[in-house]
Amino acid sequence: MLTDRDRERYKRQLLAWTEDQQHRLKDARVLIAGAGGLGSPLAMYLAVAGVGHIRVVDRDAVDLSNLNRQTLHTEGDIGRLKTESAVEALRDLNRDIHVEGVTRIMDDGTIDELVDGHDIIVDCTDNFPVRYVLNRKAVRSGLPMVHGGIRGFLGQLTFIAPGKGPCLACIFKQAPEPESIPVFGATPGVIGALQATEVIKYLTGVGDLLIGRLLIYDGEAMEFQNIKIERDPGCVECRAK
Amino acid sequence: MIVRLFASVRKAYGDKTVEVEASELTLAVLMDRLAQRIEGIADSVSRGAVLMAVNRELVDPIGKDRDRMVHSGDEIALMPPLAGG
Repeated sequence: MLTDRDRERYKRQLLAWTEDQQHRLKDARVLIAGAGGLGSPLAMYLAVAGVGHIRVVDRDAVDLSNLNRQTLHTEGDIGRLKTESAVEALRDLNRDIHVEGVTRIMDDGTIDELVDGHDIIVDCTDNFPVRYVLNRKAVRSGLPMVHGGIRGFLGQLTFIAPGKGPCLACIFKQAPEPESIPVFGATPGVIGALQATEVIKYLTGVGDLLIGRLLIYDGEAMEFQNIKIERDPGCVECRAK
Repeated sequence: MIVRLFASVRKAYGDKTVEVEASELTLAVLMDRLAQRIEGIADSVSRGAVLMAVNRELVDPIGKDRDRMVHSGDEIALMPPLAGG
């Protein structure tokens, strides 16, 4: 049930979807993996849209060099755990939702405890080994996952729907070589906002999800491309699912 | 035939595109030609560390799609997964 305060707060988006759909956002539980460049805009847009339960997982502390892109954190947060500053920032944006920060490494040993009980995973991590852990959990539990990645002026996005479309390991069979990744804030801003759009679409049931499509954003050319992607029958993660 | 390069592949080659002198060829031959120009690209593609798309569809130029013909005007791209977040 929406309160009068909800109706006032979300008045403008209740022109885009129904009260029932807004209630689905209020009831939803979203797991955000990573409170960095992607996780910042994503978490902020989900919080202000009224997603009722948000868990942010990150293991790092805020560093000065994060601040060119990680808009959840401020200069005053340098040295604090990212989960602490993220929760504080999100609560300042919306005190009507429940936000929780968990400072933990995400690996095959911790992932069940971190993810179980949530409706959707959002991959805002900065490395492929952790992405593969999240993907494995999504496939094993049949949970949807919104994947995002960036580098410089480029971004990529897809919606992993286990059993319906390709998983992350169908598309990316091997992690790219480790490198110092160039990044400025606007690119994860674009991709994080698109990830938030996919999460809200999934939870409200509005629109067509990015399943079987890899969206490539090229900020230098200012182009978006949809690349068709398919399940790999020999995929090490999802072939038997 | 123009192949667009993205991210680390662009960095490795030093340009946004690479031109291959041909109006049509198979993906296997195209990969051979690209391997002469971009160091390590055949290995990266075979391992899946770099993806190839033709006309906005992922292809496997070393495996199942090696005999597929591509023509001048086709949109061909080489791109690694983007790891940053």
